[in-house]
Amino acid sequence: MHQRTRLPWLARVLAALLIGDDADVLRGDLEERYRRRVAQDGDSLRLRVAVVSDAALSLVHWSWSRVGRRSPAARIPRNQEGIMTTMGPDLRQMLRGLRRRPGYAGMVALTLGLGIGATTTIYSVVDAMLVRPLPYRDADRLVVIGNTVPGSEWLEGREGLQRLEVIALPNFQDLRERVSGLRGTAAIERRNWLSATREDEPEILDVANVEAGFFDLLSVKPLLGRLTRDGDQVGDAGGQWGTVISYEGWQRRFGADPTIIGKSFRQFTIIGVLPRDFVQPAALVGTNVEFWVHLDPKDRRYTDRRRRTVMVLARLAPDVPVERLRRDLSVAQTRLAAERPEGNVSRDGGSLGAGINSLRDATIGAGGRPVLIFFGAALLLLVLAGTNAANLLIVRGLERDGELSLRRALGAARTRLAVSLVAESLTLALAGGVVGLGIAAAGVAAFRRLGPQAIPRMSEVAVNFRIVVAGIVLSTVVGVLVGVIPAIRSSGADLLANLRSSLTAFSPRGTRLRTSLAATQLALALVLGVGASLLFRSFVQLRNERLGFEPNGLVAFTVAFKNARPWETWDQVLEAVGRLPGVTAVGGASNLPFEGPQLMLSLKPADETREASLAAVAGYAVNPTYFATAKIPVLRGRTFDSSDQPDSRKVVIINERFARMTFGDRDPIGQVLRVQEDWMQGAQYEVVGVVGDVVQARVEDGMLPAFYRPHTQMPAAMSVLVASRRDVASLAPEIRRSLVDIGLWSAPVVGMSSMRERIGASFSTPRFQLLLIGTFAGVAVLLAGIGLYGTLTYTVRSRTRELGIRMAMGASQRQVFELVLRQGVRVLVGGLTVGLVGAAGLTRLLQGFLHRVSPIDPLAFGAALLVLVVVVLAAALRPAGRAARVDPIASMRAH
Amino acid sequence: MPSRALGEFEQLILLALVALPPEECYGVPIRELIEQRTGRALSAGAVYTALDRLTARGFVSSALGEPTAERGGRRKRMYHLETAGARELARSVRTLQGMSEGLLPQLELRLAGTTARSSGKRR
Repeated sequence: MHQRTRLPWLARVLAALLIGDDADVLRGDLEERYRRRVAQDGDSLRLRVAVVSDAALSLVHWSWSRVGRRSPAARIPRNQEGIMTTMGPDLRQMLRGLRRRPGYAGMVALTLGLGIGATTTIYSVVDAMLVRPLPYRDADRLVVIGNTVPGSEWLEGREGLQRLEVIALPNFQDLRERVSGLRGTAAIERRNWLSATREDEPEILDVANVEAGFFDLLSVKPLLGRLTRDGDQVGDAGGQWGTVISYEGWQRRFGADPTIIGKSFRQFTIIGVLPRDFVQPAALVGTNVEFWVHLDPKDRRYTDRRRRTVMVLARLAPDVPVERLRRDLSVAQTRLAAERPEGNVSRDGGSLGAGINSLRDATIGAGGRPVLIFFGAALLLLVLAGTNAANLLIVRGLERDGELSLRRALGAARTRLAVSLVAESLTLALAGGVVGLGIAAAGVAAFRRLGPQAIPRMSEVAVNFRIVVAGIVLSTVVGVLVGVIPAIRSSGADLLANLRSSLTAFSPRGTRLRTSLAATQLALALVLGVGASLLFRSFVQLRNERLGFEPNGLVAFTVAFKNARPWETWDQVLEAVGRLPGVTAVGGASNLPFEGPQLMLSLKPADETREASLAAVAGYAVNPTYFATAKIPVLRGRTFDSSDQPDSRKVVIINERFARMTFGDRDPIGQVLRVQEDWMQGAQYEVVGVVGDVVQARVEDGMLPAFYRPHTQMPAAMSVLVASRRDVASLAPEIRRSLVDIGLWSAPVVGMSSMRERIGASFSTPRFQLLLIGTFAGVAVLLAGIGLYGTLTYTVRSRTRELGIRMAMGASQRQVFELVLRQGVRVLVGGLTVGLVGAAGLTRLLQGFLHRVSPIDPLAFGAALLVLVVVVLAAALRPAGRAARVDPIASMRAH
Repeated sequence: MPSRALGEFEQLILLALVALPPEECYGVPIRELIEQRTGRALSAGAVYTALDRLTARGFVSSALGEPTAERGGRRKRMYHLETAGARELARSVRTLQGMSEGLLPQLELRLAGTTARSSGKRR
């Protein structure tokens, strides 16, 4: 054990970067110290963090003190010619130079670090999502098969990606016989199992039924025990359902008990544990399945053609493209649907199709595009940071012009000087890379915390070895590019002019290059600023959308129960919860706002004869007190009441939008709506009321038509809305107890949260986008401001003598002030013009993210412009002020 | 090398070399002893920076030691306090002791006074 303890890998990487005499001694120290502390207190995350930071600090100390210092042991052979032999002393000199100016070195490294960090963070997401194959053997041969619904076969935002739905297993088995090219298939059904015993709290368990062969297709080996097989479902293992559990569940529920196999948990006997690195195929089962059980194709649930329940995972034969299978499946399905319509008919009477996606495409879905846009934004920031660093390097190069020119004049080769400049920027970029990797580690952690579920394969994102290598490569490339600019400038510089320049008053050396670099930074900052500004406007628009109900003081939860007459349970629950102290109102609905509808039906006035194709309308079951509890106004007619019973007249309440769409100006009350779907067999409802519009699934969708049916006439699962001044934490235990009191001990309460929290969660994706791009834009504006400030300050300093002469000749302070300010404004105008054009071209990419905001929204552009103008003026004021205060006599005497 | 008084950190390192048995006069124990007695956290690199300076001034000498498994098979560098170093350390400690003799209580009093006055100002 003692021998096997190794340093955390990041510390090892850092330690490997140590160079110079005795680096091995220090490495040994790091390792010995780590082992001692592990032996003393055991390993912990805190210790690892301490060790990594120790290694990082040591690296800094070590490089600062050892490298560039001629240690007595080091003897450099000086009897050979050539660049490799001069490199050593040159590098030492360069490092010594950097040590003398830690502020400058730190600034460049930090600037580059910000750019590299942002790019590396996003790249780690891009890499996990789009570059790396799925973590299964031959993953590119894996496909998902299911039904498609005519009219919505294709997923928006991705070419060639089908929207797949569940399929009836017998129908799939028929299809499989009619197409060739499938090497192995397994049906999967994702389910929620209600688990209730008198001893434990009732709970809904995340279960996946998987057919034999599923784990083989994904090439999974169990960590403990065995995988699922036929017989598990009849209790071969201990008289209960055999189940394989996820690694996370094993850790959380069972404390990683190594003797778990054969023990029973609720209705299960545990037969195996999945390995830690098994990534659940999110396209099939989501990401949080805890119990994996056998799917028996002979079970009644799966032999009935009318029950569409499963998705299918399959492996393609080698060299069979997905497109061929897609064609074959489509043809086979058309024939099958004609022969056996059962289970092959969609709700509106059309025939279902069959579709196929590669598992990879299905997993990523439409999620790739936003991430690529983030990556683009990060690259813009990186270019900006690189430009900024190049500018700093040039300024420093100018200060060294005298030195460099002298060395050239004394016979130093151009290449040697250029190499030393590039080496300097490379060193700084690599230091920046270390900073950047730190930022990336923090960034990825933040992504995990803030990143919406919408980012596919998020669980696989990590700053791993690949990312570190990518970060180092990136730093190297940036370092060389950034160094080449001043190197070219200095190698082409006029020797005599440089040597002479300290004697002349006017020294506009490199001004144009630096000005255009500063302008580039402003342009890039403007592009990012406009992007952030657009997202901000869009977010504000979203938050200001009308909800249609009053969310304040509402607590929501779902009760899961089984009852053939569910409305009786509804009434019991609502009454019990309504009796709790501090509860002012309580209502029930099949689905609450932000949960989406219970079902979609096409409703048409019974007296209307014209054959218009109708869009389906969202339907909800609600109890009589629901509208009052949510403060949804009843605009006409009545709400439901106790007269609406299971066997009384079938009634419906519609929302305003639906009323206007269907009846125009006519009074809808008393009208009869007829359901068009065949499976509803011509049901008719009388309209008894009209209520206000309410948000359904997402605010982005706007107000959509909806209808409400009494809970007594449309059996449904139950969500509860409680109006109370009390908070969730204090209500939760009492609600739970009140359910036990009325005999509902087996009904779990799920997802209890305040309505405000739910609304907040529904905005998590746009908030995340805004936060990310906003951060980039903030850093960009800051860097551009600092860059311009540096340029102007340097200009003023190098022109002190010229300004002094001007003032001696009669220029007023005001004129000098304006002279410098004008330079700032010139940069501003140039940079912003280019930036505006660029932004107008690029913001179109954001279109899909924007809600009620045009990608060329003048307000958003104006706001970003204003911010940059303010930043530029702020950056120019101090240098201009300093110029105006130049003392003519002192400035001339100084030379 | 111009003579210059020992820095505080250099004093700590030299004192550690006095305190430790010869076979423990290398990076890790030196650092741990200082951390234990002073309660401040050091980086491994900082210890070597100071030891380098002291070596350059002839106060300590060093030699490579044997590799051990605990260090992943890497060698140690063993340090030894030279007479010049001992003399300088003694001088430096004596200077401080001589100057601070009996002053600590007064210093504490001064500190107590400062807090009282500054809090008085706030009112």
